[in-house]
Amino acid sequence: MTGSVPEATGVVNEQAWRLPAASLRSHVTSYTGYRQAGVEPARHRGLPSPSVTLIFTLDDPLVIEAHADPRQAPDTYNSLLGGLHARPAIITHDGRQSGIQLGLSPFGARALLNMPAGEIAHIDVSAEDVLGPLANEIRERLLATTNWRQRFAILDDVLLARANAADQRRAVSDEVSYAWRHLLRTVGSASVVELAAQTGWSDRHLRTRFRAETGLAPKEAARVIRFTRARRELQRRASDGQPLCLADLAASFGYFDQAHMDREFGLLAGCAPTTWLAEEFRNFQATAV
Amino acid sequence: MNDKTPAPQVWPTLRARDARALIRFLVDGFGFEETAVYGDGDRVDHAELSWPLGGGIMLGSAREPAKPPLAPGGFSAYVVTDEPDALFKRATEAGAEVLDGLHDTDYGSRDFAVRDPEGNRWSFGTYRGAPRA
Repeated sequence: MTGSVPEATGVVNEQAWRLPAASLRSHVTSYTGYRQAGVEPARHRGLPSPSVTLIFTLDDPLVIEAHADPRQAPDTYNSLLGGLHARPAIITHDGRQSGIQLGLSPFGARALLNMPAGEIAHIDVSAEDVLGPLANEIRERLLATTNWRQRFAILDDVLLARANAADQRRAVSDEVSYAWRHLLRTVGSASVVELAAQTGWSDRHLRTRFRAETGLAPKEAARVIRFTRARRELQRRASDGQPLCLADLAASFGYFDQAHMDREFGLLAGCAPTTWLAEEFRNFQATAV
Repeated sequence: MNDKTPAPQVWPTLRARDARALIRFLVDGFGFEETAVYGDGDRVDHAELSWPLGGGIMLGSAREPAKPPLAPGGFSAYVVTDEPDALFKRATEAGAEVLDGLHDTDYGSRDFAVRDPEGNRWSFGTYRGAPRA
């Protein structure tokens, strides 16, 4: 596979995905490469998820029309770092876009960015602001090759070196690590009281430290984790051409009822579940409901 | 897989009519784990799925015209599982077609065999092959 520039009439729609090197997996969830050209201009919702977003663009800058925090002005980025958030961002492109997106855990933020994810809570910054000249060095190395496998290998190399050099004394505390992992394991169903009891901290102390570390309060993190899992299942049903069965979906992810799940979509995605599907997957048939 | 399990150096490979759908089926129905997927639009150029107990497969979209040895649906594999009953339930609930139901073999393995939506034959069992070294 090559990343060559398409002919004037050609449509390019490359997607490349892989897990990072095994020893990076607690820091980085995955590498997702994309290169589109000659496609319809699009608006995409950047949805809340349990990962800090790190994007290195390739041919064109990333355009954020609306940030998760409405007080942030629209902007363009060569490389972007986005903290955990509980509202959607709106990303646009004019028919061309390319880059590699990485999802970082709070452990990855500490080890690779050398700071708690909480320092960029709810906001987007240029990755240069945090990584310094390294951000552009990485981008130039990614641009110097036309092959996704090589690009991912470059990321493994750079990030492994950075993780190995990280100061272990500045790692996430055991208590917050436990709370974060337990929320992921239970798909957001563990309560703050339960988490606090397990860590031996007071509810209030856990809440404060958890938010300072991750950028979200435990309850918000739980909502985002549950929402992320529910929308992935929704996406899976839609791509498999299965009935969506929204009431059943809501029940299986612990929402009180379908109306409650719809309300959560409204808050976290800014629209109803079926609207999101229809916007993101143009070939999705609304009749599948 | 533990730290001493060597990375696989022999990879079964197959081609699929609808590679993205087959990947979803192998992940949801059998429990393979996606490790890498490279493609363009609906076409998958190369994908790697790992099996939790070790090893994995590589697959991609069938090229047109498909040449007979690589025709989609003509693949067959035996995969080791420690929980054949649970896996049988999971696979059949995901729509795998049963070729041989759960049974105990005379060499002590608990086995079953199913077909995926493309027609490939997957046998699962507790027999781990003859011991090595």
